Amino acid sequence: MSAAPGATSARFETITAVLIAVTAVLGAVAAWRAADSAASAGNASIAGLAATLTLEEVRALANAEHYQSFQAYTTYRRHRALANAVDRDLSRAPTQRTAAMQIQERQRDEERAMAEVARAFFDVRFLSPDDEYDKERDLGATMAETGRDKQLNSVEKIGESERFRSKVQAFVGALVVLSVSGLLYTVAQGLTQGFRFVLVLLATLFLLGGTGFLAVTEWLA
Amino acid sequence: MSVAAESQTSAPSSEDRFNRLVAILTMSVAVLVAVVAYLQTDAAIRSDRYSSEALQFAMQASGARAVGATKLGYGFYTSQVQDELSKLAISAEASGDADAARRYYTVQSDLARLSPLLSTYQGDEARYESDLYVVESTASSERFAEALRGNDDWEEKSRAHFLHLALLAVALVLFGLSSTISGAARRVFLVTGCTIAGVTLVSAVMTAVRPITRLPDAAIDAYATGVGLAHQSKTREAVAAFTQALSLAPEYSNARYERANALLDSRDYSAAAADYERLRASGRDDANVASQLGWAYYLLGRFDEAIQVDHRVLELNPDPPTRVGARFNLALAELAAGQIDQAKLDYSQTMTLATQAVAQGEAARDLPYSFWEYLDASASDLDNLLDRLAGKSADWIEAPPRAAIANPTQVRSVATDLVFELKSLYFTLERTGQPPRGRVAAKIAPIQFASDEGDDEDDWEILEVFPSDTTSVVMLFTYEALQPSQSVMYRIYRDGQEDTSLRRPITGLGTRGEAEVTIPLVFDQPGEYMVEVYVEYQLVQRGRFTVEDD
Repeated sequence: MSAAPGATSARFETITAVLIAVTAVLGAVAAWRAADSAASAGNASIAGLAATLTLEEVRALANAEHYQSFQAYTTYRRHRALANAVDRDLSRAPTQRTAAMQIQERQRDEERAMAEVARAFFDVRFLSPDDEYDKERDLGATMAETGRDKQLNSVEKIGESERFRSKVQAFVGALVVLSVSGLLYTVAQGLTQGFRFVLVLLATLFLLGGTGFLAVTEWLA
Repeated sequence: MSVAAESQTSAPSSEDRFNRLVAILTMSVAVLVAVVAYLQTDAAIRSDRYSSEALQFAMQASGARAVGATKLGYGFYTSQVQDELSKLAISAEASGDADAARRYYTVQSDLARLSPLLSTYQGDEARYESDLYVVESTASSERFAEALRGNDDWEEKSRAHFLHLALLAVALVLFGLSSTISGAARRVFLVTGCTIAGVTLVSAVMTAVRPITRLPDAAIDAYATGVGLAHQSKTREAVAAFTQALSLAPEYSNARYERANALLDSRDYSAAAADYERLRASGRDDANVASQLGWAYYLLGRFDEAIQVDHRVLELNPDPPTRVGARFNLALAELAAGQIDQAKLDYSQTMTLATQAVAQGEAARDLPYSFWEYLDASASDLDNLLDRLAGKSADWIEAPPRAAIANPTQVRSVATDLVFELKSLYFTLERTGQPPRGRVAAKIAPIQFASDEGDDEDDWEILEVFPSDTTSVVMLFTYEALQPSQSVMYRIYRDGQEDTSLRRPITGLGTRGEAEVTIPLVFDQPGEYMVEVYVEYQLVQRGRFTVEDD
């Protein structure tokens, strides 16, 4: 003997009610995960902006320091070049020391002294044997030193923030899918004909889809 | 029929049907809530993204400016070094020490290689600056402003959707209440809930589909390029760049404003005025736009319109330098329009205002540099008006058409007096922080200029035009009623612009006599020169000479 139609209907309503409750719980989970991801996105965004600010500060300070050194090098080079030029002319002059030559010798010595003064104001490690200054090395080393132990990689943090933002959107999307499932279960509860089973099936597909989307977003995204 | 069969086949009661309807409506609104929540989240995320972008661009803009300024500072330093070596070489040559001169020139060439400003840019500071940071920081600043607008627009959407969520929550509450009470009231709750949900749905859809436009990146790049070109005074190319930006984004008001400024600089006053008018019509009614439009009208000879717009500038309550500049522009337009008495009154009141601004600004150490530019420009504008009345047409003269100036004879007389008064005020305020105390009694006869070929006055060759290789001229004048304690200085203008590095005191004068003052000039700078002589910082006399072009 088959079950009474009344009992079947009551069992159907009970099952759909349980499924609606499951949908509601999963919806709450999606909302919680969305809020959590939003907070993480905010934190990563702040970290990214802080890194950008730090990077710009490092660039400005490093360039200021570098050009301070390079200016001192320019002064050194000017005096040294003049001293060498005078020295070359003196070496080509006749052996007898004239008053003019004495003045030039003094000028040469003064220029050498000024060059030595200027030399104290930049890092001679970047000076080549032929007195050329390696600007790129100096600037690179200054940037590296100024940026030591600082978070400069804003791209990574901003990318992280974008990933969390995408997660938020995905979780809320899952919430929309689950709510459609809940609606279909509710509508099915209100029907008495066989069409309600179609609605339940559809609702279950939405439920599974929403759950799957939720799981994929949580663990794989 | 059995009871079981009877109960199985009986239709649901109206109560059941109502409750099921409420359940369906509740779930429908729940779906709507989820969808609106998604839209709100999406809008909030976009707003947050734009906010983050805005901050990044702001930091990049200031970083680019800081680094660029540092590099430019080095460029200025090398320029100074080059000038020093040039002077030393010239001095050596003059002393007959060719070897020393050669050494200085050799070192000069060697050091020039270290400086991109001198080597790559051939000393073109404006182009160097433009390439260093002006274009980049301008683009970043525009992107910052655009991102800020995007943040505001999306935040507005997000807030609207929050309101929608709140209204839908109210609908849900009404649905819930309708299922707990009986009678006609529950229908009222249901209908009210449905109405709220329906209206909210429509509003949510309208909010979601409302377009948010952004400036195309290409338009911003074209604008930044235009700003860089304008910085180099390449006004025609700048106008073309701004026009390209406007073709990509016709409502790009910054591009239109800068194009108008570039058109004004390139003397296309009508086109500039048209752009400024369009900006005001589109809602950008700020002091800068109005001030520029007033100036364009003045240069076009449309004095009544200039006066009207200058009044508008003052209504907008701009900062002190702009206020002083606008008042002087107003007085100038009134003068050119033949409203002599009103012009004199406005000039007098503005000079008093300027004096007060200096006293306050210097005390607080917050007087901007542009204040002095506006004050000095007020006198230069009168000089230009006088030049126009005299029929001059040099490139650097900015003045309305001669035919538009009302009552030229009276305007000329008043303008001449005002020029002396304004320049005296400017210089006295600049040097002492106080206005002039009465008129000085010292008199100086018209100035003559001579070539200093010899050592005494018998060798003076009085000239009005000097050859292109002139490095100094001798200024000759007679004077009387000069007090020994009074300071005497001269200022030099070339083509309407003062070269402040050439300001010098004149010493060794008695109470009366004849003065011979050697004025050094910057080599290879042709043009029309004006020398102004000040006693106790008050303008007493001035004269002109020309250095020919090569």
